[in-house]
Amino acid sequence: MKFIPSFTFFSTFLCLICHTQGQNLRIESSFQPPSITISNNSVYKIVIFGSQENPKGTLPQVDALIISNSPQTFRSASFINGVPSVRLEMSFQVKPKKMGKHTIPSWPLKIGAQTLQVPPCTLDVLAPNQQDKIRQNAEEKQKADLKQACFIEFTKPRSFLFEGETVSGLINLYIWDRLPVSRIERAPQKDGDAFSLTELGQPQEKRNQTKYNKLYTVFSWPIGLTAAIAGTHKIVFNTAVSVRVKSRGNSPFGSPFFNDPFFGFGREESLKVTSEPQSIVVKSLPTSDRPDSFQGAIGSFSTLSIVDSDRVSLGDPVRLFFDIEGQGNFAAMPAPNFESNSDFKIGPPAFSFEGNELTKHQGKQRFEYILTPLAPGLLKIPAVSFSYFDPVKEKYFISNSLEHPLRVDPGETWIDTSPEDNPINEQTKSISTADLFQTENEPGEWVKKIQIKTLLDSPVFWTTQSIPLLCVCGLIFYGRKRKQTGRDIFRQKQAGLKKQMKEAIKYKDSTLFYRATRERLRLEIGTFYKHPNPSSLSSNELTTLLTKGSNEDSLISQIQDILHISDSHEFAEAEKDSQSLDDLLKKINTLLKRIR
Amino acid sequence: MRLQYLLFYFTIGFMISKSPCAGQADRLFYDAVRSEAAGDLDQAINLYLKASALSHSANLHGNLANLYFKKEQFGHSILHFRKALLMNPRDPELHANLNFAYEMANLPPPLQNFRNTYFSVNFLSFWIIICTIIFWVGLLITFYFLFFKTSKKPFFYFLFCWIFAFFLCCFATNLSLNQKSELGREVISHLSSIENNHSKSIPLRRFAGESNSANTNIIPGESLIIQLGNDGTNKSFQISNGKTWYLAKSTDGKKKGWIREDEFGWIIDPSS
Repeated sequence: MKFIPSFTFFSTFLCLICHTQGQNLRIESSFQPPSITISNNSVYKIVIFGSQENPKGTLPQVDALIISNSPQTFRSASFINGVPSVRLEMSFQVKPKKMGKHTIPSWPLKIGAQTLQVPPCTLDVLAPNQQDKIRQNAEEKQKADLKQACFIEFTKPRSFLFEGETVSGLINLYIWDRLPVSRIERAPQKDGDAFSLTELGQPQEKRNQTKYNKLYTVFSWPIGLTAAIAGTHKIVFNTAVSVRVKSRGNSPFGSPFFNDPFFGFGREESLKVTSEPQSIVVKSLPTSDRPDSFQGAIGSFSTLSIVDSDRVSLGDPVRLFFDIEGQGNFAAMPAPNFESNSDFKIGPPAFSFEGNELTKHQGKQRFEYILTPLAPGLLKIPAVSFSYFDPVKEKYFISNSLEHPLRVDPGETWIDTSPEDNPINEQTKSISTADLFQTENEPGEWVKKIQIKTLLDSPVFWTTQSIPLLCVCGLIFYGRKRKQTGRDIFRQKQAGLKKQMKEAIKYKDSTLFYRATRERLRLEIGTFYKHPNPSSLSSNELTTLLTKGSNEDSLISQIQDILHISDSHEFAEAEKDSQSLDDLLKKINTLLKRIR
Repeated sequence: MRLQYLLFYFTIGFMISKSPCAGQADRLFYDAVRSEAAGDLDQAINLYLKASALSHSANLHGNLANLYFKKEQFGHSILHFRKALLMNPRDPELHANLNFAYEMANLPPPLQNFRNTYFSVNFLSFWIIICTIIFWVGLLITFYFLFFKTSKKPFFYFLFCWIFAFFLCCFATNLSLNQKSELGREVISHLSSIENNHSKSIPLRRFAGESNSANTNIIPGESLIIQLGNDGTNKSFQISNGKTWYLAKSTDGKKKGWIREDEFGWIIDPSS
């Protein structure tokens, strides 16, 4: 029983809809309100009477009005004076752009099988009043404040770039410390096709950076920006951050604490952050004086070439490293053209880059070529030609590497394993190949003919031989003269007597000793006083000779004593002498030296 | 006054006779260096050869050898390196270049044993000086013993030592003199410039003349010693076409035969 009223209502409603579908269709259009100031919005309302079907049509565009594309629809059914009626309302938000009367013209709308014309409708847009202006200012201030709360700053290094040039730049995302940012949704993206950007890695984070009298946390992305198309182009960077804002509704507990985003509550909203658009002029590269070897390298570079060996055997590969160091478009730089020739087979190079891998703007690019010599000999590795455009000096430059000498041995040869040293070969090893076969620019000392000059050919040598020859001649002359004067005989006798005395001491033969002593005294004293026959002198005669000379009495008496002992020992053999023979010999030597 | 005039004319005459030769060689040398720098190696070789006909220098022969090396004429290159080394034996670069030229010519470098090193021509002056010193010092000491010393025993010991040392030094000097004599007759083989020798080897023939087979073959750059005849001069024979043939033997004595005069170069030219 209780289902009966409900059933009755729905059956009546269905009958009503079925009945009204057959009614005449009618459309009305209006602005609500029909007159607004420029800072306000209006609603363009279309009411379709007699149908609730979805209409089909295209809303005409009016330049001075911004009309939203997503209308709000409202369907209603009612009995008016007992007559059932259905209608469909569509409401479009309209924002005026400028003041004046703006009319949306009549436009067709298809409802089911029928097409009806929507009547034209006019909106009167009036000048802003004081309240509008205050609100507009407040909105602008709010926007500006929001912009200062989170913004992107892009620093461009130069006001203009060359086509293909890569410059390093920095994208800074400033986030105000009071802005409850939960996360950065994505890294900044570039708007503008005239530039290419290197991959953005993890940002560097700097806290407590002051700007506009506010404290910010700054996230920085270093980038390499390459200009692709010539002309004047704008570049904008944008990103999105998630911020927590206050919930629209009240918290379930009715406390403001649970609505506060700073305490982790509230809801999360995406905030789009955009940088100020910057205009960059991109110039085309000059075509005049462009070298043939130019392959698009732009920047400031220095080059260096190194070979890993200066001596190899035929067939052994050699590595040639060609380094390009500096600042420029390393990411777009192809390998310098270095082709095989009759001496070398050259393979494609291997690349390696040392520096900032993300921006690839500053660092060292190394090209490693493998060269295989094709012939033995002293070959020259040809120079690698690299040309580039310097955007600061606005000139092309060619940087040629050095030619490297390479000694290519014919191949493996048998090596003598014997330990024999080869001094010249050892000397050779210390000489670098780069020092071989150099041309001397000065002729040096000229000689009329090549000949081996020895000392035997030198007159100086033969002249100097006269010195030792004269010495020998002098020695012979002096020796002969000495022999003739008899001095040599005296020395021979003296040496003989000395020898006898020493032998007597050695064999303790006192008789022989005293005999030799007496003979020696006779010889030396007689020769000293130039006696014709010293060996015939008696002891008394010797004493007389000593007395004639200017000798001391003590010396004379001592010699007399020795003579007396000698005579006694030989003739009497009675006296015994206790003095040792050795001491006596020393005494005799001393006395004979004192004779005057 | 007459003496002063004589001296003046003599000085002028000496300057006129001396300066053009050296000046012309200098000019040719510098022209050759310029040609070489410009890449005209043939012209540079010609100019160096013209300069060497007038005068010689180590740098000239070194540069010439370098050019021949670059032209892969290793025989000529070795010949001129040897000439340059004869004039500047202490240049390590020339030694290194010569060794490399030998290597490229597939020839072993000259054997550097004890005899070739210490009894070489470079040591001849050393041995002469040692020999002279030992002779004179020994003679002086001998006379000293004879006139001033009475003891005979030390004298005989000394005499024996002196004669032995003097004999050894004379032997060493003689070895060096032999090396000098061989160097004066040493030649370096190279390919003749007037014929196309595709075999890249030089025949040493059984008889002096073209119409006989080769005893053996040698590689360009190999050293040969020209043999002496009974009269002590180089053994040679001039055939009907005016070419002179020489009897030569390799330095190790294993190869022997007749070689034509344009197939080798003298290290020390006997005609100059």
